[in-house]
Amino acid sequence: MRVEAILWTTALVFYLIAGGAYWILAGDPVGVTALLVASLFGAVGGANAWLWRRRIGDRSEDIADATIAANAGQIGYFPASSAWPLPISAGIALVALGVLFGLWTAVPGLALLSLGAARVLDESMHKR
Amino acid sequence: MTSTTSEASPSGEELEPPTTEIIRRPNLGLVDWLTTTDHKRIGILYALTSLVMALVGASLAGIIRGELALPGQQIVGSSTYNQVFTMHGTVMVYLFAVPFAFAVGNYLVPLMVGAPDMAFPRINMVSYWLYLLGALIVLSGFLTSSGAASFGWFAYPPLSGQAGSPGLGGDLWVVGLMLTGTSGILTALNIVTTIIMLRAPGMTMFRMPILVWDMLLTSFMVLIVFPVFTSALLMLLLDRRYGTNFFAPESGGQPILWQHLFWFFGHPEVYIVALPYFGMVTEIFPVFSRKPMFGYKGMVLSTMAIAALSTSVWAHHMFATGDVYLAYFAVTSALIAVPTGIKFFDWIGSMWGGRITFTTPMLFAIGFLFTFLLGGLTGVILSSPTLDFSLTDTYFVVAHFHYVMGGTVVFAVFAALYFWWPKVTGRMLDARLGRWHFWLLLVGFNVTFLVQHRAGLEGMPRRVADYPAYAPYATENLISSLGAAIIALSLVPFVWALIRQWRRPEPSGPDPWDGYTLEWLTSSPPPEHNFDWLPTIRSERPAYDWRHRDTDGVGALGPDDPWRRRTLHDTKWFPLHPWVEEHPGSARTGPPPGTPVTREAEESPDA
Repeated sequence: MRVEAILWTTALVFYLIAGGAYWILAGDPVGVTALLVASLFGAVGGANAWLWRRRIGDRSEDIADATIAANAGQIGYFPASSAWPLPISAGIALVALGVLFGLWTAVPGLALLSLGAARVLDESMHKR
Repeated sequence: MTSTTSEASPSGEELEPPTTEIIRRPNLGLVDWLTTTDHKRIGILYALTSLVMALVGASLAGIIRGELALPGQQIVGSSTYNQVFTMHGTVMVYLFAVPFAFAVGNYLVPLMVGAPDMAFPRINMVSYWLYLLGALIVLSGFLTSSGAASFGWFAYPPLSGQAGSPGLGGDLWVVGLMLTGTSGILTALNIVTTIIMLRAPGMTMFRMPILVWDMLLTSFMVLIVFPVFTSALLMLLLDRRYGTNFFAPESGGQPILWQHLFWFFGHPEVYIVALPYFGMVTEIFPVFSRKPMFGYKGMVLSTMAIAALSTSVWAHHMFATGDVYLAYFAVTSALIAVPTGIKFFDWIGSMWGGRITFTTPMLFAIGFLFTFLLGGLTGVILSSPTLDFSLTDTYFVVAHFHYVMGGTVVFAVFAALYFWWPKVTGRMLDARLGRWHFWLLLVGFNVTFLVQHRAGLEGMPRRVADYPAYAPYATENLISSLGAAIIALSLVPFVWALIRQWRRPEPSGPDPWDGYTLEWLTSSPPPEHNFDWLPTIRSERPAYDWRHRDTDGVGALGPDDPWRRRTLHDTKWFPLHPWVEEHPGSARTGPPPGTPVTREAEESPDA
């Protein structure tokens, strides 16, 4: 995780410098806010990466002479198909269209979205 | 993912990966595609959808060039023309260029890092559906009585406000783009997680293919700027529908606020549609030059520099507002030329002295270099506020961004299509038709857009539906429209090649190009969950190493091992970079595709 952590930390440092310079030179509140919030992206990602590096050390994908066998075993849960992404997305789209057309699209959208989310959660819990 | 280490010699015949002819999967029909969470199928869906969008955008471009070919209004009226150019920009930028990059990222990132799938397969499919639904919502504006959005692809208020553009088309535009923006954020999260968490053992960060690096840094940029854009769109929607006054000047809003928020997204967006395409051609140059990539570290660091700088140059689009601090943005904009120059140096260095074969992907990649160079040069001109004041909103700018965002994307898209088509389908695309396609496109593209620089210098403003017959740029417009016809013609050999591989398939085998990266070691098309075997990974070219290089004993390094010395050297001088490079003295690696491999030629003593 070391390179990843450095990558995020670089983002943090860069946006602090760019935001600071922009603040001093231009003083435009929109840009300064945008740049400083962008530095938070680096801070959150970097803190997470450094923390996990301290906890677990180098993983086999960080080690230059690791063998493929080092990662033997199950590495994750990758369902090959699921029917629920479409209802979830359709739900989100209907809710968004509800801003234009009112409750009659937003309510069914919200129903679809909750149904889909619940089913996906169920799939994950039972590894179907 | 079962695994095999290199106990047996990699030159042994018995270790050849399974050479599969065209795999015919059990066809479960449409339902199978609609419910899939396989990253390869989602990648194909993304690619097909974005190519259909490209056709839509190209047809709109055809209307524009048809209208502008001659003075006077022949095809569409001014109001329709406004809708047409707005939707042309919208479709090409938001619905074609970004999603096609995500298509390639979806398909190739897990294969290239040796992962079984993306980290979140179902979220991956959710983001595809959000993209498709968002695209349909944006396009459905054409069906409303007041027509589609007509305020330009960057939607400046007050024109994009309720007073400036009443009507449902604009609202649908905003809502649709909020959905595609959300889709982009989800995909970026997925790509970052996959790259950070699912690499194969030994695939250190500095052994990842450049395409993977570029997708990673692109995703970083997406995560930083897409939320800004999506929330700005929400503010615009509230202005339009619910009477808030974020951007409406008549009641105290700030139109400049929109410009800041939009371009804080909009300029990185230019690089979000550029970096993945840089990555695609970077995978192509070394393979067809039979050399390792030149300047790998420089390439990675320059990509980082471009990604960082691109988020601090946004107001160079706003020089003419008189409301921005010119020097900051002029300096940062001009600075981007430096890492871009490093990239050019590395691309040329990758070809320098190599055994170049001019296959179709290589031709398109070289065409990419040419168009991107021209676009980059005019970019340096436009980064100077003094010049920008007189050139902004003329056809000079139109020509500039069609070179950097149009030409490079299109050439890289076709390079990628010809290069990875055998991997995706198991079939080759015809090389002779590919050459016709390339030359017609190169000629057509430059005839269309080179003269637009001159039209801009002669004062032609962008976004006009008509111009007087005595205008000095009348001839340029006619030439440009003829060029557009050549571009349309260039698609004929491509479509012909597609039909041909459909009717008379020519099996490609798993690795038709003698490729460098991991995806060439699995079958074509790859099976579900990608690999049932992976080689030992000791450089950024594992497939090449496995085929042509003896990696015996690399896992257990002896005291005088060249790999070990390389590692120590890198750890000392470039601590970010714990990788091992191949033997020095064999800078020209490997025979041209098809020749039998002799081991002796490779075994040069380590100097």
